[in-house]
Amino acid sequence: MEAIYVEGLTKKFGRTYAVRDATFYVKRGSVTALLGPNGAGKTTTIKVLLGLLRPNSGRVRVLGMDPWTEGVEVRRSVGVLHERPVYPRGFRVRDLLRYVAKLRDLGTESVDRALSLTGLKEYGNTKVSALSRGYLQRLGLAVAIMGDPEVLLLDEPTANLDPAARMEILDLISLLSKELDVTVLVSSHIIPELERICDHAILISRGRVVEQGSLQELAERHGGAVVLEVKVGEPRGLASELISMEGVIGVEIVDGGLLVKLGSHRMKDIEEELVSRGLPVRFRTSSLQDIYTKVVVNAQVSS
Amino acid sequence: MLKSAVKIGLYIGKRFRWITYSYLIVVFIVSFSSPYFLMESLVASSVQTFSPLSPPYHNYAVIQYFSMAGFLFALMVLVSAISMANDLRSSALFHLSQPMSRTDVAISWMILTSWAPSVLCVLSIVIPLMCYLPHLPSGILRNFLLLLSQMLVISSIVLMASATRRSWLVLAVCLLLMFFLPFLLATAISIFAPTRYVSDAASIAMAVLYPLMASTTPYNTTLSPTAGAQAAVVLAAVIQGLYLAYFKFRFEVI
Repeated sequence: MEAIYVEGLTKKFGRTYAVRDATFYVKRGSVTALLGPNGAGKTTTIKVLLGLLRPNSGRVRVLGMDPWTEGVEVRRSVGVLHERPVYPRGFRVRDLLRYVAKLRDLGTESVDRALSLTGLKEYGNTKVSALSRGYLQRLGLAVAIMGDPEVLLLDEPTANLDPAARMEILDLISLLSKELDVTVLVSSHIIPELERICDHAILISRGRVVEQGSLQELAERHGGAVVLEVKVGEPRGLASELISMEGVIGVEIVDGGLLVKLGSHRMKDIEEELVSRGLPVRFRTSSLQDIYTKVVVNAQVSS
Repeated sequence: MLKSAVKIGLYIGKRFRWITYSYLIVVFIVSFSSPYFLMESLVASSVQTFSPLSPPYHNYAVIQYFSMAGFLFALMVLVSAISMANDLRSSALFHLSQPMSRTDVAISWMILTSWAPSVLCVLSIVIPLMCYLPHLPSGILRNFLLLLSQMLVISSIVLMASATRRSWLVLAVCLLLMFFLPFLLATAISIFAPTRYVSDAASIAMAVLYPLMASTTPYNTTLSPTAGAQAAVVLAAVIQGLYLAYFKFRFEVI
């Protein structure tokens, strides 16, 4: 079941196409990356999904609703972090969240929860204007998760942040997606950092969707290597077993499990083997950057 | 419906506290200047034998008072309308990302930019005046209605300009409607008096846009100020209807 379904979406500003005939879907419970260079149409797509922009043509459904005509209901179930969030002036962090809680018909307990989930508890009485960029992004995430949304739309959540703050925000997004069990659509043009958190990707170039699918599917289609994240209590034994298997390129022991690098031809078998042992696995691709370069740059050259 | 009203209340009350304060200051000034104008009127009545004006000098003082209220009204509308244009360019993104409809935002701004300044301004004159003169002459009551319709139609046009999100356009429209156009129309009426077509058009525009002002001009207007006021209310309703329809069906947060 798709949380977001878009078919033939076209959005023009004057004569310029921001998004052209885009068709894609976002699976419920997935963390999907919307990847594309600057000006590819990522922000426009997110604004259309939120009902802030009216599509010129096409069919858009978010949780089965049309965001333009049923905007209030859609926004009740969707949290958003904009690329350049603007907050009303003069608020302190806690007051702003209380204000959002009132707009969303929520109680004050949701404010405390959002503050603690995003690590802003100590900043409740700080003026929003006094927050650093990293903490403004945290505040944006706190606003986005108010009211337990079913879908989170994150537009360039790490833009203009220093590397440490970027890692913090990505870890926070990863944590939130697990804690809250939400569908996440996160846009960015910085690929390697998104590889850490997403399991699906939509590649967009000049307003057109040029490729989409799970990371596993993308790796299969474009011959990339896949990294399988395996959670296991005793990783050493499994590591030595896996390294001898055909199709396994490398194994790395990390905190709480293994990272298994696989060639694309044997990944299904190895996944099935691990799942049959009751081990939780998650696909990542180590070559999303290569796939992106191949697909998006080729699309740009050919157009 | 109730939820919408709560959101509109929150939007107006919390986000635009300072606009509310500016309204209160204006109401305070207008209310407390009433005794001054009434005293002026009383003094003028007591020395009317020396006055070059005819006995209804009392009304003249009230008209003067109305002009001051009109100026303060212009300031209130200008402040709200420019805030609206700025808000639609910036923090509308924040509010419309919450479960708040475009119509809620539009109604909030309609209250702030049109209804509140018009009604507050008229009430701030009527209430103190009635404390001193419980039985207002019908002519003055009629003037209040003319003033209210004048404020509604002008603020509605400014409201529409604010929906374009261009502060310079809002300022230009405010200056044109509140300061220049009345003089331009009066000039057109007097200069083109022999050419009935131009003069008539200007006097109709004067009666519809400025019914109170039209009631004080010495010219014979083609449309009576009362009919002009009725047309002004209809025009204001049409403009505000179009404004709401624009927000409901076309407004986008870019």
